Amino acid sequence: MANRPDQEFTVYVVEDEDSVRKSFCALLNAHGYSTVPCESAESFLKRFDPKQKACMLLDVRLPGMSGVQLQAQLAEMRIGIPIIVVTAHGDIPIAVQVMRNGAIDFIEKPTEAGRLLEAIEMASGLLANQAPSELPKKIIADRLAKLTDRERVVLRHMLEGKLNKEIAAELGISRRTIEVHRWRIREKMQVRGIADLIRMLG
Amino acid sequence: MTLDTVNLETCDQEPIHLIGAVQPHGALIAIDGDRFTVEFASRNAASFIGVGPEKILGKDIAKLIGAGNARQLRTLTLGPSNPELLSPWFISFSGPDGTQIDLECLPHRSNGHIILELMHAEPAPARVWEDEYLRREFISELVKPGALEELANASARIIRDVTGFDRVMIYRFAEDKHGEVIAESTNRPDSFLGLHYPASDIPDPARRHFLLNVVRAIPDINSERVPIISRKGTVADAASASPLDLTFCKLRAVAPVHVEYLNNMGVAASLSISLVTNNQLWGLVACHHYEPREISSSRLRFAELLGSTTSALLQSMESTNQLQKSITAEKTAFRIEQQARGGTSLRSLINDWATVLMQLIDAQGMLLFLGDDVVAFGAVPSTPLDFSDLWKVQADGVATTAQLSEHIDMDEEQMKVAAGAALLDLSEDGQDYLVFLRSEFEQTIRWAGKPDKVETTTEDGVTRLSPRGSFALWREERHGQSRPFSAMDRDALRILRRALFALNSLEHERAALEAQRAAEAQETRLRHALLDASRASSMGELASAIAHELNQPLSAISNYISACRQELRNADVVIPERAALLIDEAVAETTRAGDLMRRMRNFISAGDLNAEFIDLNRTIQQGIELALAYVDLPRLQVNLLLDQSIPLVLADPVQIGQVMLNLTRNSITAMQDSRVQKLTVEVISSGAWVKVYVRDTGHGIPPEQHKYLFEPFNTSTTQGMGIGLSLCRSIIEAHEGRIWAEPVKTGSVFVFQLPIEGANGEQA
Repeated sequence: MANRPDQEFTVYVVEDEDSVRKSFCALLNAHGYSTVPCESAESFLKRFDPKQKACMLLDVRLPGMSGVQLQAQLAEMRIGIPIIVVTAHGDIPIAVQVMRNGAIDFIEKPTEAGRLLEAIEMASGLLANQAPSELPKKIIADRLAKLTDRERVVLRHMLEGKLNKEIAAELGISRRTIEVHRWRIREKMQVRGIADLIRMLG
Repeated sequence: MTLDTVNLETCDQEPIHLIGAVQPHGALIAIDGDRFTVEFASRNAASFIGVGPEKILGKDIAKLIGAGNARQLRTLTLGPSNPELLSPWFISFSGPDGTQIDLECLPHRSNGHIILELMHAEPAPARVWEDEYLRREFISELVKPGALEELANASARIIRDVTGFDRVMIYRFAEDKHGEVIAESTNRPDSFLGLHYPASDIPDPARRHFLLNVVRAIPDINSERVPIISRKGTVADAASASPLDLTFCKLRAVAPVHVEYLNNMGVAASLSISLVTNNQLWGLVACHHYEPREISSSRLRFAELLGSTTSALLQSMESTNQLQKSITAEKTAFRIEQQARGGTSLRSLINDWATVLMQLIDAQGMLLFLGDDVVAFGAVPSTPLDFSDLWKVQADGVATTAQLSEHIDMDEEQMKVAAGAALLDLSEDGQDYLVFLRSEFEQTIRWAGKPDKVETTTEDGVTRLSPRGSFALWREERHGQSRPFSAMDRDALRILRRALFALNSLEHERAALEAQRAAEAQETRLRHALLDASRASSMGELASAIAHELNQPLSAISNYISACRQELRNADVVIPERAALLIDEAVAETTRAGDLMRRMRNFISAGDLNAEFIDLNRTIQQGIELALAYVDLPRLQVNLLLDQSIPLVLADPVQIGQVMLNLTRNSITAMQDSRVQKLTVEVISSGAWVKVYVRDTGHGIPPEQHKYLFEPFNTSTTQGMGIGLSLCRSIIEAHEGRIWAEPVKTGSVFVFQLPIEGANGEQA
């Protein structure tokens, strides 16, 4: 049942910490991907080959140019490499920002191998011009229709990258109620987290 | 010095004991105390002993009164003064013409001299009558009365009976020394009862003499005084080189000012008996006759006895009254102190006792000053008064005045309500005091004549003073004065003050101690808050750093394990089922560790809960199992009383698991050395809450720990950093729940409760 993806597909692992970079590479290699380890954003820019089919595993916190800055620069250079953001500091505002700037996923360390491979597969699929595992608009609309007005308001705030306490203060209700709303939204929209929501709703 | 005027400045210093003369109803002979030679003799000596001064001066007294009498004189015990009862010495001797002379002699020793005062003896029957009277009535009459005025009246009546004077009055001296007639017995139509006599009527030297000589008889005001001649042939008065001290002479001549005074009153004969209590001139029995009247020394002696008895009775009566008042004050003070022991504050004590206190001091109003606070009772002025000037004149913490307006500025209204005041100082710093107020005592004083002496200026410019010319009734309305505060009042005030001062000091001490404690508690709270704050920020940073540092290797481990498994698969190695399971578990654990890390960091830096609807039973079980995995207590019994019927609870399972882990671990640590090691965890659905009880049989929580149990760094409750319980509380409170320790006799019980969604009115 070994997964043998396209050997042509390269994953750039942009990660400053040696052990983490090496372990990512080991994992991805074991799963059949070729990898290019980069210890910084600058090193990635040096090594990047636009002709290669590739995606990038990007740590947001890097010495020198940060992951977010790199993402912005790539967008400016019109380099459309799919980016999977990995972070040891899973804070919502950064997640929302990188997702809005076009990252295809946002994964927290320590990463589950399955989740990571899923994201990489999606990235390779994007490049293979396969239809991304995008849900039909109808299903999304159906799910949205299940939300109450209040849940929709909360959802809008969530998509703006706001924290529960900020939403609670703005709406004048308790944090706990916001948590309940969030939980209901996750249930009704059938998503795992904010990244899914942004991917689904933009 | 003339007879009718006296110099104002010397009035009080007038040396009346050096007047150098006697009244004519007796004769005076002064002999040398050792040699018994006659040194002084009054010019009228011849009328009593048959020979004049010129013949006897320098002679041996034995030659005059006979050797036997002279011998007896040497055996008499004579004091330097004789203010005691008159003790007459009856002598008989042959005169120069051979006739027998019977005399009463009053001898006393003074400045190296023996002074012999000689009077004609009275026939015996009178003395018998007096004894009879004394036996029959005197004692019983005087002992009967219960009030001062009754005693005074009885005394006046008996003295008039015995002396036969027209009028007998009993004066009582007020504190300002003015006198008031409190009793009178008279055969005249007019009455002096209730009249006041100004203090200046009796100058201080006269008062001193009244103290030294209890009886003073002036049979005829206007009789000519008889000079006393010294051996040099001069009058032995103040002006001479060797005056004779007549301090204790009964016969002493009358001072001119006194003669004038009595004449102005129309009095011809006078007898006064001093009423002395506690060595103070309490009052005076004044007997007036409107014609000259001489009474025998026996009657005089009896009058003196009456006076002394009256004085003694007055003193005992006053002492009793004073004692009674003091006892009442002591009793009140005691009861107040008793009540204070129950923890009542001084303010409420005064409030409770206000009526009793005001009654005791005969006050109509009362003001309690405690720092800047003033509490008023009864009648007090509507415009506040500043008592600081009265406070200044306090002695031993008490100041009294019957005329407050003499000390502080007051308006009419204030003067009416606060005419008199007694101030009790209640604190060292003068911040607290109690003031009793006496309302104005509308008093009309009926002066026996205008109470001013007449001042005249003579041609040589010297201001002279003469006694009042008129004793016509003079009414004086007194305003702005209260009933005076008596010695009794002051005693009661002192007793109350002592008790109240002590209570107030105690209260201040207690308050200071409490303030100190409160300050310390505040400081502790502040320290905890600071610790908490520093904990929060440093823990936030620390957590962030730790999370980052640990997440990286965890990430690597997780990746390596996954990669390893994949490589084995890639190499077509058949992984034994058990090994595969272990690999899965290793991955799951790194994920869990990562989860925990992330959530703790989120939580500490006040991030969001990752709440979901969970089965609390499962989370609890997992937490306990995790805690038990690391302990080795073979005797430990674990009772899990779960309730599968409780609704799902919106909570972060990792954090609630952490709470269970901490509580369980604490309990296990506490039971390490216990005989019985029993852990009971119970889940109960209770209204809007799910409650979780964690009971153990460990060493329990010391009572002093209860307060700080959930504070951070409270290391005595755990063996770790002391943040376990504080973390638990933070987690539970972030879930809008509550955690507490229940007081139990053995072991400890920790309870936390989480809200059941929708059950507490909040619509999700």
